[in-house]
Amino acid sequence: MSGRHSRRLLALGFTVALAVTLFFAMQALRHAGAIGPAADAPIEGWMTPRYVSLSWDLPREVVAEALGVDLGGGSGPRSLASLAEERGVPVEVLVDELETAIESYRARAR
Amino acid sequence: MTDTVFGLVSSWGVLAITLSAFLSCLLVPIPTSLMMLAGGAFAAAGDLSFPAVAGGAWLGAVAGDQTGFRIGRTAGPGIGRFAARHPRREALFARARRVVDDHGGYGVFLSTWAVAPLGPYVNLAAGAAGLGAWRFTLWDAAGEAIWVIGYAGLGYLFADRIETLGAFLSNASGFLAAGTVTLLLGLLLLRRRAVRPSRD
Repeated sequence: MSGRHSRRLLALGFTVALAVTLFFAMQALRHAGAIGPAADAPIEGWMTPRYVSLSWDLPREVVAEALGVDLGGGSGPRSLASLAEERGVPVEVLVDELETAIESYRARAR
Repeated sequence: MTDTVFGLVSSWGVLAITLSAFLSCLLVPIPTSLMMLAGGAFAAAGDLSFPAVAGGAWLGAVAGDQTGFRIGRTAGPGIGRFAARHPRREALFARARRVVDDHGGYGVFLSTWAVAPLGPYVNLAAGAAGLGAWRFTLWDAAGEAIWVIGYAGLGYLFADRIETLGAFLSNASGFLAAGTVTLLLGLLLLRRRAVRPSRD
């Protein structure tokens, strides 16, 4: 490879790397603005009952009762999606049940 | 995509994190950092144990790095023979070996966490350029501990916002890795200009 050729290749690599760096910098800044408090993020299938109780700041019993599951110690993670599958219902059904339970719990707490 | 990754952790627990850490050290494009964030968050929620999440990710990562390093080591002599056929190439390979010998330890250390996307390549290169196995292992194990505790710890502390945090962190990590590559290529360009100002 001639010196000139390899230097051109190097310059091209540098330009591409610089463009990629700037792209990531812009994306990172854009996403940094969205990190703020995420209280009451929408309930999704990947979440576990315990995770819902943590992120919605609810007693575990409220979630356990709404879903009819035992959240005592020892049991491992279980996603809402897999609970729904076990019951043969779409995950939205569980999300609705949870949202109703959360609403009535908060109404009582007020 | 993020949902699928988090779902893997809520279905498979620590096993998913360990396997993913192992594979991502071998260039399989899995977002292990997101998995560790989720592992930390599920630990905060009481679904998983934090030491199990951190320990599992660490073991997977160290085993993956070792595998990459061994592959590099096996390929090393072949690359050396290939380089020896051409004097300029031979000099380049000899210089690469010297750089690895002088700076390889903390290079490996930084590649496990500060510029993690470059890690798999550094493992291969360190193996091929003949970095000592113990030196590699110690720096690597220390660096992976920082990576694992950093991500799982952030997931634990900010459990309720791992989705947005994950999006930020993966871009920030891409920025650091690409920035490092840009810097290195820039230095190479400058050095060439300095060495041969009259050419071209």
